[in-house]
Amino acid sequence: MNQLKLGTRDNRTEFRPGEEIAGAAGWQLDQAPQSVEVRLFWYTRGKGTEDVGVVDTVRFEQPQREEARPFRFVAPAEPYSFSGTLISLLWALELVVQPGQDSSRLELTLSPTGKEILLTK
Amino acid sequence: MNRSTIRLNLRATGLGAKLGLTVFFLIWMGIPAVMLVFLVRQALQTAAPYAWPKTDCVILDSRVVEPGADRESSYAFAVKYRYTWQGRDYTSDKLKLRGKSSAHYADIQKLAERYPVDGRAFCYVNPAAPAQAILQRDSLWFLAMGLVPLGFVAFGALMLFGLWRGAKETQEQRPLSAKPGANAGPGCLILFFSLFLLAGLAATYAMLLRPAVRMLAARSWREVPCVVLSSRVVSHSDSDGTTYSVDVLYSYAVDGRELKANRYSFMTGSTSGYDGKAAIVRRYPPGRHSVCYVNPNDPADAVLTRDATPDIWFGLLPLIFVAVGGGGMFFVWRGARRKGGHPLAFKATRRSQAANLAVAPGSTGPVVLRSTGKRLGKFFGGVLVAAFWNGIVAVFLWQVIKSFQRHRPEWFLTIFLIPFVLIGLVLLGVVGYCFLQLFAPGVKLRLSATAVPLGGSADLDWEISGHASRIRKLRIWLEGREEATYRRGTTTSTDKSTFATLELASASLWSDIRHGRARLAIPADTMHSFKSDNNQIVWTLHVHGDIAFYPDVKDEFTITVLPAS
Repeated sequence: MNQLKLGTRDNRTEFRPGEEIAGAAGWQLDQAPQSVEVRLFWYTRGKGTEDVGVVDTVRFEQPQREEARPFRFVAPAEPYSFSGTLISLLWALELVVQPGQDSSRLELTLSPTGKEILLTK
Repeated sequence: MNRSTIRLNLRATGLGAKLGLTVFFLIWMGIPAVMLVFLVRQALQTAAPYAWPKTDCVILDSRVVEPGADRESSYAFAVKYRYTWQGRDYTSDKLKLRGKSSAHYADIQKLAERYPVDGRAFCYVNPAAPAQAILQRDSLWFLAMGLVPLGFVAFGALMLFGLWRGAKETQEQRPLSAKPGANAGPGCLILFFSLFLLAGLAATYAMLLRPAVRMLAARSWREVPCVVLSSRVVSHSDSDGTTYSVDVLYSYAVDGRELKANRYSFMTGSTSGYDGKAAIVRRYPPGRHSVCYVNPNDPADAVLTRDATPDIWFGLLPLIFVAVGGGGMFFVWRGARRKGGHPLAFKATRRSQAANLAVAPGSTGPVVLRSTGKRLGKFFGGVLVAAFWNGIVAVFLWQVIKSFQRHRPEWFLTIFLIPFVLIGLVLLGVVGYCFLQLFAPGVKLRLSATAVPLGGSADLDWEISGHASRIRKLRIWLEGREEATYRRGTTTSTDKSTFATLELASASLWSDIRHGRARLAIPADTMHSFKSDNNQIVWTLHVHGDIAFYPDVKDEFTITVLPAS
């Protein structure tokens, strides 16, 4: 059975725009993968149809069946993580192995304070 | 690192909605599928003679059969020929499997000239039933008509495939960041709209361009004296009612050869309105000497009037299909291009261009916002929607009125039509309201910055033009709101929720109303402008002027709030 792991340095999940998002991805697979990559993306939750925006990808060259690799992103300027009455916007890192549908996800928050912005009346 | 932005829609459609959509698309595919079945059956019958052997035949009879006194018959080709098959003689009177008749005398006359009496020709014999033979095989071009129902069936099938394949992938919990392949991509929509475009272009060519080109070409045709042999108004009845066309048969001579034709003008087909056609027929009674115009390259090709007739305006109708098809394809293509991915760094600039900010890309301000263009846009948009809706409803309403005039009221249609007529009246009311708003005092706002960052501020100057004194009270405020768009069944809805209201100005004295200044300060702990395919955070400036006994001033201007600098 495939095992995927994703972690950030010091287990940080709150980031400010421009900060470094560094961590490591590890995997143990039943067979050698064609590709392994970590994606930095935002997605929406709530009443509206879900939207996803992949803003950056780290693709690991010549991935082996069992391995751990570091990755590094720069936190983008926008959009901020927020939660409102109808919409929430969340950030996440996702480790994706192909072929197959295996993935592992780690949720983050991105804002000037590092906390999710609450939209209240 | 590969830096790019991909915007994706993930469908989270419930089972009930999926079943509902499945039924909808099955019905969507049903009628065109039945049409396709009939078309295939017809194609098999029509294609059969292409396998029949060819043999010599002798024409025994060949003539044009002119219509009788009834209004609905057309010109027909009567032919009889003898042929020999496996040592035995047969006769047949079939030109094609489906016979041959035409509203144009010249078409039939050409056939009579092609198959003269005692002439020799080839015919195609059914080897399974040698008594069945034809002189000409039907064209298979009609199969092109199958493209339209085929397109509808293909679209429905793709939507069903996407609907259920999408469900399967969701169950498999694919990566959230993965691109879904199940969504109806722009290709499906472009295919759908291309059907409208093709149908519109074909109809525009047949109804407008071709007659117009022939009218121009006929300017150089020979002017020849002719005598009217018969004239009548021909009726064409079907389930949609009766339409009429003019049939004036006249004879003329070219190079000593006596010819006949019945083309009145280059407009083909028939239209409603009997009186206009009857007036033309009265102008050309049998025995009347007139002038016709003859194609120098084909003397059988003649026309009585080479001018444009009022029917040519009907040729503009297919342009609606061209506009819907072409416009739809353009917007789908543009939407797909936008999804194609621009780095987020460019997003603020892009939004500035999209918002109601009259600024050049890259400029920092100030910016002037005016109500005039928006009001005109609302008015013309309302006129278009009301005209489209009421135009369609009017067709059915006319049937109802006619049924009452005939003293045979169509009660079911009458009752069915009531809500549609009411909606049409409401739309007319909206148009009237928007029209009055055009003459309400105008609003001009001047913001000192193109976009304001969170925690930042800008100066806002306002100026009310026109009859500003009619405004009893003015209020200006800034609003931040969420807008979430979602699909329920086949309808798309957008819910809105305001999360911030910042009062900027309030005035009740005329001098304060006419112009003034306010400070616009954006809180630091809120959300900047954001726009994705289905979700957005919008910041808008609202101006509300209360006017007695007249539509109020209600204007809204979108501004861009940037992330903190």
